[in-house]
Amino acid sequence: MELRQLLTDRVRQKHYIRQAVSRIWSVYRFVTLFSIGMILLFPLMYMISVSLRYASDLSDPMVVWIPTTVTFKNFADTFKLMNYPIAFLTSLKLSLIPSLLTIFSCSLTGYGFSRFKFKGRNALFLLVLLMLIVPPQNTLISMFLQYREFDLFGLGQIMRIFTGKPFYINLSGTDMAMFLPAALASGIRAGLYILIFNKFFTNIPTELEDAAAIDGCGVYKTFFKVILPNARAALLTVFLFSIVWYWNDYFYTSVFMQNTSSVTMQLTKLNGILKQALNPLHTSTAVLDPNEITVRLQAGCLLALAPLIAMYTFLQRYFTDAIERTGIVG
Amino acid sequence: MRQVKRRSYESKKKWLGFTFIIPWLVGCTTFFVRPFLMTLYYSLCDVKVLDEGVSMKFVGLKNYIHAFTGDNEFLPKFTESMNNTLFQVPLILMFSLFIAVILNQKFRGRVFFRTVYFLPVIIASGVVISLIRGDAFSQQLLSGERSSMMFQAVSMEQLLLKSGIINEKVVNYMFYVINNIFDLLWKSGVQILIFIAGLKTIPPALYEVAKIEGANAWETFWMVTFKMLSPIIVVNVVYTIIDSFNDYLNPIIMYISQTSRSLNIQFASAMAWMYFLVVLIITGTVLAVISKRAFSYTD
Repeated sequence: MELRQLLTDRVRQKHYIRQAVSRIWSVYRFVTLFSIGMILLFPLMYMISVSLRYASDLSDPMVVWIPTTVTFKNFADTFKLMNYPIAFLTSLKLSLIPSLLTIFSCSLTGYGFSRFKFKGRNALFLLVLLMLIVPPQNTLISMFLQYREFDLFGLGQIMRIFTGKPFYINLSGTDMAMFLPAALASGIRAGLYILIFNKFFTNIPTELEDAAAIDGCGVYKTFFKVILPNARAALLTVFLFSIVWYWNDYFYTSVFMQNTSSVTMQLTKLNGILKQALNPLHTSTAVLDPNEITVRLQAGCLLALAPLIAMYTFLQRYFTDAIERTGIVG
Repeated sequence: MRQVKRRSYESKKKWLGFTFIIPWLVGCTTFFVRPFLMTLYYSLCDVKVLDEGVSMKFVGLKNYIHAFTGDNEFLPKFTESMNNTLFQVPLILMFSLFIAVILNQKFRGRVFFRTVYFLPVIIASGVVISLIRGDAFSQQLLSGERSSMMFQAVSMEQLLLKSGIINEKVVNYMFYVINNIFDLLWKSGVQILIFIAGLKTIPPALYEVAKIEGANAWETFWMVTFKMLSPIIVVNVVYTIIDSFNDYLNPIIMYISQTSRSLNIQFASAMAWMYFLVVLIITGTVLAVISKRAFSYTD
């Protein structure tokens, strides 16, 4: 009887300890995640807080996060100065079309590498990895020079035989400078996407394709009718990565399309535009309150990011699910 | 026509498979291989950009030698970039593994936290971040100067250094982490994602076995989670190294862009090629060393 009592006591004791540990752990987990989450949310909260206040609140030591009066004037000003509707449409064109082209061309390439054992496959795959390793700064300038005299993949050189002069077109400054590499699986971070698709297709069982082949489906038909519909997770992941990186791109756009008015480009010019606009007498000698610029600049940042954030919150559930099912790492 | 038909299904498939990568092959040669090799050529030449084209004169290794002898910015910036990577990579990896393991547990609000932890990938636009960084007010807020003087890292650092309990190098490293926590966290978005995806692939049966065998949480982490995750850790190590080296905020990368924007093409190309070769060697060595230790089912 006594032994039994002792045993139940022991069990109960252990149970309490375990419960206490798990409770401490969940508190610790929450504190950790919350505090780190705050750091990650900081830029967003900062933009919202600053863009909603008058410039005078910035120098007020009493105001840290919550403005004394909330105003939407900064947004209205920046919206007009950035020429936002046009900038938005330009950005949409320069990110949506390349992203769609990218998912198409990269999935094709990834599939080719994962399923077919043609000669030189490994050597060519090393090239994909090289695309990933070489910093884009390495190739930027020669790409720019090449764009100025683009010879249509060497076809222009053939023209030399007929006319004595090679045939060039100037691609820099045209939308094609962004579309063409994307269509040929060589756009921004294409190496990474090919890798993702390759991993994903390697993990799909081959039975599906074998069945399709037996039913008389050609290789292409199998790809479009069987493989692509089953690759929705990977397609969505790559599409979202791609559209984010194209939307935020400044590196390529600023070199290839200097005069375009995409949102990101407008944002980099915003400081100068604001200095001009806020100086009513148009004299450089007048002293300008830098806070007036800061509040509007943050409003500009928020306007630039708003479409991405809206898209992300809308697609968030599919996205995190999709990434987990892509088997990026498989 | 008959010949084609008589080919076996397998060999026909091989040839058809090659057609899948033809678009990429064309694009890659035009937009990657050719500019890449052209950069190598420019680095060996004296390049002048004129309105009607480019004039080049072969000068050999002059530009490479210039980087070491004539230019006093290349070497310091190069070593600083190396140092940055050396410091950052282990921290980013440890941090993202830690967060991924936590986020993979089941608890209330994890959907919210996952959304937040992926934000860096969405917002990490150079333009926006540099606008926030360039803003004095945001720096005040971030370092906590505005809200409290108590948690300032400076006085804490002095205290620890003077007390002499911990080695000076350890203290410096600790405060490097504290002062750069913002950057480090912002660079971990993709890695966290990759780790979470990897954690999903570990068979739950292994955890049950560990539990039955009486392993505690610490042992389970090292024997099951860490071991089964090791191939993904390799992927992440390589990704982090490349990402960290190619970060546009790296001093040497900034210097290269700046030099090429001022149309000193030959020198920028030479630096870019040297940097690339070093990155390639380091990545290759790391990969060779760690991939042997990674777990694989075939062993």
